Amino acid sequence: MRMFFARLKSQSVTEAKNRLKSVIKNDRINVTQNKTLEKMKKEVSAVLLNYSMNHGQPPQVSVTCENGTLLVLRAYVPIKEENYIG
Amino acid sequence: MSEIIVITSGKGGVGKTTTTANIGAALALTGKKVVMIDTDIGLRNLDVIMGVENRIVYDLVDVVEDRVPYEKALVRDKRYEGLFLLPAAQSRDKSAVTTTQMKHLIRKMEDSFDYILIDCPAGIEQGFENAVAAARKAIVVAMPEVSSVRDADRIIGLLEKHDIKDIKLVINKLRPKMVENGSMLGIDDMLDILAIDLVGVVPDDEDIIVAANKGEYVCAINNSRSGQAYRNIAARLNGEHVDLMKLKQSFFERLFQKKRRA
Repeated sequence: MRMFFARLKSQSVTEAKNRLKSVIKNDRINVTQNKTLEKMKKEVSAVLLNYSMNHGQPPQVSVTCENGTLLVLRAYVPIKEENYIG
Repeated sequence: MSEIIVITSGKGGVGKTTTTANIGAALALTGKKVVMIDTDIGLRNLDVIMGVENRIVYDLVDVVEDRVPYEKALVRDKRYEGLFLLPAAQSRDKSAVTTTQMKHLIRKMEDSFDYILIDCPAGIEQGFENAVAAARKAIVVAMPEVSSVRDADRIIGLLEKHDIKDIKLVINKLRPKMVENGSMLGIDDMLDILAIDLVGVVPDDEDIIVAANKGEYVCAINNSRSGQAYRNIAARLNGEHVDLMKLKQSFFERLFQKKRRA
């Protein structure tokens, strides 16, 4: 019974993540509709250059695309530890 | 030359002001000279969190309107060498300051402080524009909760639009037990969505409310986990490598913490 409720609870996080990814993608589409391809290319170069200059390791790159249009590109260091705070 | 950092979130109530105050105090504890600017005109709170609300004479609007030099408007926190507040005006609104005035003010201040922390109001209107106008770096505060994460993503996009490339995340009000049992977004979930570097994780902690009630800083409480989290964030901002703390406390750690509080 406990496992059943535990599974139900963990579904809420999965659902939250899926919903978030969907609304955020829509938000990003609305925001970037007026960006030219040239501007997007410059932004991609700037993000990757900035990251490589400031960090000693290659970044994890997060890309959001829609219909062949690049919406968002960000670089960050992933943290896979779930059991830490601070 | 100062580090000029705006602390923002988009959504209200996620802990921007508390985070600004505690990072500021923690930096001052390391010997840095810090000024915190409250740009939430009309709804100021940084003064109350710091416990200096009765010592305000002049404010940000007095300074940008050239009635007093900024030095005269600063409130020094007597408990910490090198910690200052430039309070917001309470009887005006956010249209009382322009982005040009903010840039001009920060330029005057930047040679006198190691850190200028700008507490940004909620929203994306004039208050936000003023707060980010002169910032070079940003800390986005987000709770592990859907509306906060959505707004944080929007804010990150706007910061990038303002050419602020150094954007870091503080995850606030994390509840370790809820993360463990799958009811709350975890660190990797939030990083996966927001895709910016993490600078710290602050657990949900009663100590923060108690400290705010008294006008004290939780980062000054030695056995407080949230206090330690803020001290760690300050250390990382200073360039130190600090590991994240364990999420789970052992039975004895929890017992010792309860005894210290009693």
